[in-house]
Amino acid sequence: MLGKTLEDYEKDMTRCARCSLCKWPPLAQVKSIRYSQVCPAISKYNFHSYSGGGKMIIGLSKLRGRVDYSEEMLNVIYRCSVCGACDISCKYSRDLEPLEILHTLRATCVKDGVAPLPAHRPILDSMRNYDNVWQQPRKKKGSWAKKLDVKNAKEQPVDTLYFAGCTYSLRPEMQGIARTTVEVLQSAGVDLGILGEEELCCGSPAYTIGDEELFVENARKNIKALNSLGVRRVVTSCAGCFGVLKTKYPLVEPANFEVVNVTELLAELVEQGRLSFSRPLDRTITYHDPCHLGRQSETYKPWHGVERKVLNHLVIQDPPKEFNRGTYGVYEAPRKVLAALPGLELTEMERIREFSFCCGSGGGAKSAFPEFALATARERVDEAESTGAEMLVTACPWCESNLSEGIADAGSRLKSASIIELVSYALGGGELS
Amino acid sequence: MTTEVVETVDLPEAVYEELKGIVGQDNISREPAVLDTYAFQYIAELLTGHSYLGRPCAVVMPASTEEVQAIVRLCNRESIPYKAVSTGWGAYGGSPAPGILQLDLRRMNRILDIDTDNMIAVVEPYVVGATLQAEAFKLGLNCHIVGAGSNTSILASATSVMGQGTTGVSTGFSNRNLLGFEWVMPDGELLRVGCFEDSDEWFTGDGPGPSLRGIIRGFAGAFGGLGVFTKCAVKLYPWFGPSRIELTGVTPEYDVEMPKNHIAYLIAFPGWEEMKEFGNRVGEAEIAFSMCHNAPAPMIAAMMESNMAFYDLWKGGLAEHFKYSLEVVIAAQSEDELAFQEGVLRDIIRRTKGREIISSKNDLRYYVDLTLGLGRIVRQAGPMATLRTIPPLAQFMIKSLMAGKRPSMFAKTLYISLVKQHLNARGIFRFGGSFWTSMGALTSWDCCIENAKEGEQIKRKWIDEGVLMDDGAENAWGGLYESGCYGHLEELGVYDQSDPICVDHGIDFVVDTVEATINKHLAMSLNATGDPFHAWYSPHVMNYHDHVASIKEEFDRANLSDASVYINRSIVESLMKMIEDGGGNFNFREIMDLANDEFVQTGPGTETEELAG
Ligand SMILES: Cc1cc2nc3c(=O)[nH]c(=O)nc-3n(C[C@H](O)[C@H](O)[C@H](O)COP(=O)(O)OP(=O)(O)OC[C@H]3O[C@@H](n4cnc5c(N)ncnc54)[C@H](O)[C@@H]3O)c2cc1C
Ligand code: SF4
Ligand code: SF4
Repeated sequence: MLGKTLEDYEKDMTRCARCSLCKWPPLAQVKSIRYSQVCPAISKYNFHSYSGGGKMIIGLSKLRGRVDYSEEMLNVIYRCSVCGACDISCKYSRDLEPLEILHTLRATCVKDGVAPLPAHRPILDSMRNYDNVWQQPRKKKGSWAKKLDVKNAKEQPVDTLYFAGCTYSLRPEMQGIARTTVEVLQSAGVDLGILGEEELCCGSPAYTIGDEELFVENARKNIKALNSLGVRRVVTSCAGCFGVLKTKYPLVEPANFEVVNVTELLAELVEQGRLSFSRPLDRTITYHDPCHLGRQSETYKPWHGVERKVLNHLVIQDPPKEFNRGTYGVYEAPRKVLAALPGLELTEMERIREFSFCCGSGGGAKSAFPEFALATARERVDEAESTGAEMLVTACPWCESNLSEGIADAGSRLKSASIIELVSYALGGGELS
Repeated sequence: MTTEVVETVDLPEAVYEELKGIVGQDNISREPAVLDTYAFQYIAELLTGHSYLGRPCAVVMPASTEEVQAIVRLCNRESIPYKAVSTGWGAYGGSPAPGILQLDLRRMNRILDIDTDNMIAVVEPYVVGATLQAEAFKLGLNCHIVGAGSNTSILASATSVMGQGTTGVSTGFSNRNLLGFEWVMPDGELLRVGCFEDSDEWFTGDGPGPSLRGIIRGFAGAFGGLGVFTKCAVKLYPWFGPSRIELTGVTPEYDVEMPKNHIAYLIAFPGWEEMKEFGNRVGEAEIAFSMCHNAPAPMIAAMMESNMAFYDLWKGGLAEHFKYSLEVVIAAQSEDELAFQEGVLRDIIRRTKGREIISSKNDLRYYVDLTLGLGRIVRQAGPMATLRTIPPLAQFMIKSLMAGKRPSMFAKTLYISLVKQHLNARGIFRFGGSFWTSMGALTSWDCCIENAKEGEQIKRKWIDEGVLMDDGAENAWGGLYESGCYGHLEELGVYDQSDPICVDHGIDFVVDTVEATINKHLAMSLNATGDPFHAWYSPHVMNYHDHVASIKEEFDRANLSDASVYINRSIVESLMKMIEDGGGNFNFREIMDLANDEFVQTGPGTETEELAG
């Protein structure tokens, strides 16, 4: 939610049971002691304060004037990948909003002028100055597509806009994936266009760091620009862009387009028989659910109501509120695509889907606390290795990049890849490492 | 924004540095924001009137027994009160007084051994029910998990707190499952209890080496008031199920393929007497893997994904249909054994006028039973009563079908929750935010039922006063242990900790139930912990406080292992005198307040001179 204050969540914060359920997957899903934790922050730092519930308590203490900002308090608040795993585990049993509170706590820090942290400032400044997070001139944003024969959605009407996102557009090691995405979709007959150098940052980093003002400004510009194109749908292959476009933009302004992730579109194309795979992959892989493609990608259901109590103390929402509990995240589409690829065997990790263990790079964690991001990636890589897979496949540039660092740091034999690379290979294009 | 005044106690700088040297700088904190996440606790509001206990002076996270010992020795040298937590859930993990050194044992998280031959697990404090069970299942074994949930520490339950859980009929009670343990005693000395005299085995807590189980815990446990337990061995039980229970679906609703030869039932009875009889007979027959009573409100809540969904089903008057009910799971080794167990169960159901409300076995049977049940109502109560009965039942059926839930799915949810203990927060915390419990010490199953009857009456009064949620008043939770040799039924009261009426009066229902247990000769309350309750109970129970206080004094001469939920002789005896002086006429609330004030003022580890005088 946007524009909320800690006061708005006082009851939720007071009603935390300090049960620690937010440290584990929904308990019935615990399959071993080794992979039983779900919160990256508490996994590394251990103090209760690092858990989702711990941050709710910090929010309450701040609200009640029991604590004041300090470097350590800000560290606790920002050593968190805002992955939302705590939210899912808490909401498995409760009608509380840990993730919204966590966000509001960050937004309060920004409003109070103690955040963003120094390491986050260049990113936000870059968004303001260059409309991308990588401190690159605007002109460079379209360079990835120079050699592609793809429509400019500003100049020609298209059915589907491919929103490449800052990382796929600007990171040299990632640009190939954006190109492959366009090629694959075009080969299936999708009427596709891009915005090239006029594509703006989706605003996700501003949101997760807590700079709501910058986020809203960014989102407004984007919604206006995208609305004006008259496209039926916007497809993203970055889970971060997808999550924010789909779930946060409706908080800002209505959009006249549908937002889909490339894995959803690919699954649709497979189902329609518009992609035919000829080259076997002959590999065993495991799949990492990105947080913003999975549990944090539920369509926003607006709710403007009040809390009411019936039966003396049964707390209900009036009108009824549909909580986002991670039920409708994109879990099946990537698996359907993988299942359609010849010669590919998917072996699942223990923590998957709504209780997937985060890669560690989100929420500004990677820029401010690289050792935390790396430790989290190492944990996930270890789990991926335990499946016996040769390849760790995902569908998000941030996950892919951080997990690759984890693989390198661990000296692991795993290779990392994005789903679209596997699809392209099976279609007969490109090579896999 | 309000500014709450927080009373703080600082550690001397040199002591802080020394602690840092013991645990490493990443494992100690005195940051107020971090400390508050230990001071904030479930039911703190009933002790202090707000959400926080006293703020600790620091939190340390030792990783080994040696580190724990070094910390405890340092505390003794510097006269610093301390208290350990394993997962740290509940106000008894801290102290109402500020300034304790909190030991968070989260880094001691290993399963050290699962001995399949002897069916024993050796664990460190941060091994919880869910993790030990997951590993034990792989070896065809299972562990006892308490009703609090599988997010709680196996060791804390075995060594320090209570021990009742829903599979107790086949997996016992935590204090009975405790075998050996490793104990950093209150003065920092190390004691290992089990067979260590002769071997390195964790074989038994009752010799040939010394057995101190009764000393360290008894029924209720010392709640952190007797040093720190760093390892323990617990008994495991056979598991006739798969190495992993696979769930399908996405949160908040998982489905399960029932393991072969396992069946879950919800069985309702015409009244308490029949339910009592059924429990005793099933216990005697030794056929149940799990058998417990959950009142309708938490049971339905556990099945539903939100309070709203619960309310939709509840307001149709559904509770009446299984107010007197037991949840039963049978888990057999073979088809033949299953057939035998089912046969015995059906026979007992028939003899005790029970009715199978749902079972995981099949839906058809449910509808047949429902029709037969209605037929019985027509015969027994006449057509008008039947007409009144049909709407809620029809509503239940229609709504559950509309919600995509077949009756067998409810039963399967029941099954997973009984085996895995993972839905308790849904069934009790989600309603209003919190709950507190009362009555419910171990006793005969017959006496448990008397407790429940009385508890319901007392609850009704506090519901009418608006202090507790109207959960139908009957909200007893508990079951039978060790094939029905004993049982427990506690009375739960649900409240909203953000509502002043609950904060101010939440404890009153507990006070009333304690009074009832004394006046009506029922089993003691679970809440017979902490000085005001000892003062009240002890004269009725052979002055037991004298024995418990002697243990505390003998093992913790410096009185530094925080005893705020254990015992402080001078406070107990002063309160007892006040009660006696008042001719037994006293306001218990005032006594509690007085005890709390005095305790908070003087802090743990300090003599309470005015009171003692
Ligand atoms: C909501 C709720 C429901 C509950 N329901 C039940 C129930 O159904 N059955 C039941 O038996 N119990 C119940 N309890 C109490 C329960 O026994 C304990 O909460 C749990 O078993 C202990 O595990 P924990 O991880 O919560 O312990 P913690 O919260 O870490 O500690 C509990 C107590 O034990 C002490 N302690 C913990 N570890 C150590 C140690 N290593 N050395 C010395 N002292 C230690 C702590 O100081 C504290 O006083 C319930 C508690 C809650 C909060
Ligand atoms: S945030 Fe939710 S899951 Fe975490 S401690 Fe609080 S109530 Fe429990
Ligand atoms: S958002 Fe993720 S990292 Fe942050 S507290 Fe929740 S589970 Fe932990």
